[in-house]
Amino acid sequence: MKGLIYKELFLGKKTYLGLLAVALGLAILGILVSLGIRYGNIQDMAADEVTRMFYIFVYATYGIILFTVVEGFFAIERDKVAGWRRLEYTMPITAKKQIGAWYLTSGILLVVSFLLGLINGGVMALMFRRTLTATMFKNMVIILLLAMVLFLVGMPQYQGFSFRAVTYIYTAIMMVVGMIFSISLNMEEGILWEIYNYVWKNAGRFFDGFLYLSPLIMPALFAVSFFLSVKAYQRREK
Amino acid sequence: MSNFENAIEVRDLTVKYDGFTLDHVSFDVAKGSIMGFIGQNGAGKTTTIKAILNIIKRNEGTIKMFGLDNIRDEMAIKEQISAVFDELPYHDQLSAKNLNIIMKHIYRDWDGAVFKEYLERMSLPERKKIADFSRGMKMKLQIAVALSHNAKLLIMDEATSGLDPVVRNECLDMFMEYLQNEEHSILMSSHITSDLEKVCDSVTFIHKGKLLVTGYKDEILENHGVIKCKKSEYKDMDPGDYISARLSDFGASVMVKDRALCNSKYSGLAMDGTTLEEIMLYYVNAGKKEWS
Repeated sequence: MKGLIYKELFLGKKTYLGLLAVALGLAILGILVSLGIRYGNIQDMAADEVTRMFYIFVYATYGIILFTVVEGFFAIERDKVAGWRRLEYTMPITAKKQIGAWYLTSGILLVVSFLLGLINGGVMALMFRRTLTATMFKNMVIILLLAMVLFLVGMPQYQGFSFRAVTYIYTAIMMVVGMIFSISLNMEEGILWEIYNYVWKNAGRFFDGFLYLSPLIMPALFAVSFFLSVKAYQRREK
Repeated sequence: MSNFENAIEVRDLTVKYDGFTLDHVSFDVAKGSIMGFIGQNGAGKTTTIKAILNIIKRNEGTIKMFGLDNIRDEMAIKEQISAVFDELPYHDQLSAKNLNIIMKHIYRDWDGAVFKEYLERMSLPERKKIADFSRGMKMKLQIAVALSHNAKLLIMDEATSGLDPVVRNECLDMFMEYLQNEEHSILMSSHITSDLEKVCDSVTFIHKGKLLVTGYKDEILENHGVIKCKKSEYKDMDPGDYISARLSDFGASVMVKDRALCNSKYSGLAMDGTTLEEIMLYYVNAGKKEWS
């Protein structure tokens, strides 16, 4: 499996560096904005606005976690395009090893991006003079778990769908999540606000439940996803 | 594993697709030999190779490699074989140096020093991305990888097709060198029969999923011959003696499969030797018996 992990690392190098650059770029932007609030021409920003700004910079980095999932799908697509899989069937590599390599490299990438987000959150808290609350941390964990769910559901599915179809589905999910997030930041009192609050409160309950059940859900989902991916991989060419 | 006589034993291999059937194909690749696998495009060469490599499922038959079952003992077999395809199956973003690291952790017997020797010998850059390689360089790289993990069997599917004659000859020289070790064997599919004629010990010829001829190349060339005669003389020949006849304004060229028998039976007619390419042509038209 080590050889396959090396392969993924060589091939994913650009993506990893890209994600690191985006995280770094966001952190630098956050630092500049916070310096602007403290010493620059936006010193008159209201406390609420500063808090909102703090949230944006903390959660934006966490958006990266969700995009790391795509790298897992990219890995399969790269192999298909290169014709690697045909060669791989001639090598002493079991399906479990190949699938294991994909899951492991994606897992490492998810954890690294989570840690990057956490470091960024700490830096932002320091710069914006706000506290990284337990709720914020909980939300970060929920984002990580959601990314894991998308990956675990997507991997076996991907064996049956084309890369384009998966990308469209994924982009649609991301757009809906992004829209909800941006609406929540700019919403005024009114009927929309009440609907949003209602949905959010219930979604919050759902995510809380999901978080508490995750020690049970995630291993089960992992086992099923891994099993299905191995089965899909074992299907030979038609 | 060292007591096997045949590197590959295919028995009654049947694979059914929509509109195509590989029909009870049987042949052996003897240890220490190189077998040419000949046939037109779509004859079933790649299907046979894929079945041998267990890339596709077969409907019937057995395949043994080094005396082991190709499905039950798949992992043990795959440590001992290398496959070379017509298209490079490596990612463009990788370099030869990356491949060295990857393969070191995939094959137990990977020899990095041998791989580097091949790279030097073939003038392949170690750090350049594969995307920047020419087709010839890509093929050489594939062969370098295939020969660097002490594989006992090399399986090549149209590997030399599309290469210029100079690179093709370099590749053929390397295969001959590889065969210096009598434990090593090669199964080489190609429709460039001149290459196969140059290097092969034995030949298997399939057409439309059916095996037509298999055996030692020299015997096949020795047994087959072309009788050049008048059309009227050809008409007097026993259809059981020949494969097919090519008719032209100048007369008939008739491919016979038992040269010794036909030499005595048709002693008045001139008999020429033949090539694998000619044999392939006449067999392909065997259904029609007469063609021009």
